[in-house]
Amino acid sequence: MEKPTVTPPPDAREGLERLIGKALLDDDFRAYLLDDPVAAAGEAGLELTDYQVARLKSLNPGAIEVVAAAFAKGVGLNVTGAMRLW
Amino acid sequence: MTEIARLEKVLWTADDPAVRAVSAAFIAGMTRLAPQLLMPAMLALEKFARPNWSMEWYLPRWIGEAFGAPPQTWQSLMLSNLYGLAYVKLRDDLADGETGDLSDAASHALCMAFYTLWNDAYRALFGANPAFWEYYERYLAQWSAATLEGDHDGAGHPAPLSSEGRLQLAHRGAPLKICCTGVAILTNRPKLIADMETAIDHLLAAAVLLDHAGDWVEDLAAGRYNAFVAYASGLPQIVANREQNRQRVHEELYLGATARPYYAAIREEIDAADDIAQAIGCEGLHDFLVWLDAETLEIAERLAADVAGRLSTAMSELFGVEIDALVPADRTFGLKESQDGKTYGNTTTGCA
Repeated sequence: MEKPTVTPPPDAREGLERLIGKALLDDDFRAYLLDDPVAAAGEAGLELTDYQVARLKSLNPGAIEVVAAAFAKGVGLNVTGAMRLW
Repeated sequence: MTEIARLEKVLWTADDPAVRAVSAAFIAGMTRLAPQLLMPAMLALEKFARPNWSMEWYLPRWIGEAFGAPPQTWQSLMLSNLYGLAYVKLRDDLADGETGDLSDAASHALCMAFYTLWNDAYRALFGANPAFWEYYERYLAQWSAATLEGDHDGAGHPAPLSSEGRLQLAHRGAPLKICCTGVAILTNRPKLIADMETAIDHLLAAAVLLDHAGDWVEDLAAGRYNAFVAYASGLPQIVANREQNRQRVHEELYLGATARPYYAAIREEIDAADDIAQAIGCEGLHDFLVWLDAETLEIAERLAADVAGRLSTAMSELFGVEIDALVPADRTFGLKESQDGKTYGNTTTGCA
């Protein structure tokens, strides 16, 4: 397993972030990803490297639940806050 | 001073003499009609004094100035319009059970008082002019239809970004067109009414879409139809679908297009309104639309940055490293089209 030495392209970053984002938002997908990262990522259109699979498998399920709960609280994203008339 | 800062100063000047005069006339009218309701009426006025109501306050002025109406005329229309806004807002609050400390009886009485003052003000300006009252009835009918439609689960509602859907959303603000058409009638410019209506419908569609993007969490919780939720999820907005609808909005924000098409539609509406505003020489409306477009862009960019930041933070919390460390420099993800047609990865890194 080699660690990267240069910044990856945006598509790769986005792909991994979306995979993790989906896991944080979707309880079933989260369980699936932890159980079988390769298959779950494949359904999202991604192929994981061995390093990524190993890192995902090493995640503590309790820790990911804590992060998911905090993440879910922040997704309201109220962007205007104005009183609405119409 | 930037252009936007200049516009904000122009649009939101609290000590504008016209705003002061109209506010004073509003209070005087209420004092004459129903002095016992003066305090809740003033509290309602205070709500409307917030900066985000500049469009609703100033439309009659912008159009009046463009059409050469004397200040007394557009100030009278600002006052009529203000009573109408107060009525519309209070009626909606009554329907939603959100009248705060005011009792239902007092709310209904205040609602009736606003309605009476609204109509009296227009009667003083237009008498029995059939053309004006025909438009008045038409706009109220549009408003009733649009708000009744919005009250239910949205199952029969057109897609919010479709032409039909945008117009239906715009009609939620149809009462605002009464004072604008009034300006055209009083300045003897009936041929401009159709263009002006179109411009304001575009403006209102943009304003409603923007408001709904900001209020989707509260609307979903309260069971109110919300266009942003409808954009992200085609499911009826009923209690049984609440969690699924929330999930679909989250997926749009975090896994989808971060609502970019939604904000692009808002900017299309602003552009369309601005084309007409410029064609009819309505400088005040044009300035407002320039500001609104910049505001919309900023909101969309802030949303995208917020989403990216939250994902990045979550990644750091999970893996204890920055995402860069997880993604090798070469041969990262295989490119595959998922079942929903979205591309999640890339076969080539682009890194030499």
